[in-house]
Amino acid sequence: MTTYPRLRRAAAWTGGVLGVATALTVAIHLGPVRKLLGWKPLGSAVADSTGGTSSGWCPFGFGASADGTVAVRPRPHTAPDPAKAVALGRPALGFTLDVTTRGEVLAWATAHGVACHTIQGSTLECSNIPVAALPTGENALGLTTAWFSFPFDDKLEIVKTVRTGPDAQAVAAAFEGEQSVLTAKAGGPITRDGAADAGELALGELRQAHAEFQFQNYRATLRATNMGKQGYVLTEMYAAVL
Amino acid sequence: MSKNTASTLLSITLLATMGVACGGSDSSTPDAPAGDTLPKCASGSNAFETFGGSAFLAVNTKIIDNTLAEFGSGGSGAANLGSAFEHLGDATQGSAYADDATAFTGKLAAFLVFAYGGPETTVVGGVTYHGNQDMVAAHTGMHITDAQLTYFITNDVVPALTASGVTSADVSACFAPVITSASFKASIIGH
Repeated sequence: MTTYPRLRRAAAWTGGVLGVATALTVAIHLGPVRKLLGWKPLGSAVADSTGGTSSGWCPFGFGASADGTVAVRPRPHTAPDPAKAVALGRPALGFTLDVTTRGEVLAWATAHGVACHTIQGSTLECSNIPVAALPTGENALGLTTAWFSFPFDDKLEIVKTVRTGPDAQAVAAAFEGEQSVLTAKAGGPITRDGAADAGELALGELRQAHAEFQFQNYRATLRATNMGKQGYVLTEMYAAVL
Repeated sequence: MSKNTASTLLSITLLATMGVACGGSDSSTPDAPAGDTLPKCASGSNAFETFGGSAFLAVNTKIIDNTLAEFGSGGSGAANLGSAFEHLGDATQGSAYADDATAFTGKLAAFLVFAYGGPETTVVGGVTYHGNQDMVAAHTGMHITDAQLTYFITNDVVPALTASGVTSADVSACFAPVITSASFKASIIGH
């Protein structure tokens, strides 16, 4: 029988190299090793240009660009729900969903002396936003905290807020004000629970008024809540629907 | 009164005083909820006695569902929850993240049951979880802020209760005092 020692040696070397490479690739994705390398944990909201998720620093084509910004992923396209109406407009604290960029939100924050920092990839968490920095006439309460999320194409997709009011009257009025604006600009709510009346909210801790707005292209949620000794809060959520 | 009598009376008084001071209640389970001191629902009983274990598991499921819904389609819609769920199951990020989603769900259920007057252990999915948990340790490393906790309670917890049929009156009377207390807040925030 003819043997091919050179071929066998080549095959052995190739197999060995491939095996080592495979083992190394697996190893560098293990949690402790990633931590040693300073890579972000799996599942972080970091996108790549091919639509997958990654650590943001994987050397094989994903991750941060040269200027330190995170690569964005394209927006997935989903069919609109025909059972829902199309929102007339999509209010989001004066910003434009699917249009305002992260850089523009940062510029706005700087212009108004608002402190923001990045959490979870590209989301901005901004604190102590004064009324003067917000669209006028909608609400007399400043923002304790706001979260601006940019999961796709670096465009604003979701805004969530917490506003702390001095008393039930202030928060109830803010809730009604925001509801009126949303109704006028987007359309009426599909759900309305509880009474945004100062007397009702003051009846007990965690008493809550709630309004839900849902459209083919937009969602919004308002909640006015009695937080007991912590006071009263208004929370908001404005989101683009894909 | 003779010196001997006075001395005896003094000794008895001192011993009695020590007995009262050192008697007291058993402190071997300092974290056990005092059922009688828990706030009462309209039924006149505490929350666990009023609604039962199945209802608590149902509320727990709704809390989890509401929390998952925060993540939205973009994956970063849950930024308002801070780092609380970002590293779930990744112990390399800290011991508070060691639990995976299943264990977290079970522990949350056990905590809620225990905190509201139920037994110390709860079985979820065939696994026994303990409700008497160290909340500080469970949240250390997450750096949860006041606003993040507020958003979670108002948008994920309260809606879970009301959607499960708990009246606003009972939410206020027998659920709110536990999770709006300063001590509970201090055990979650800033660690």
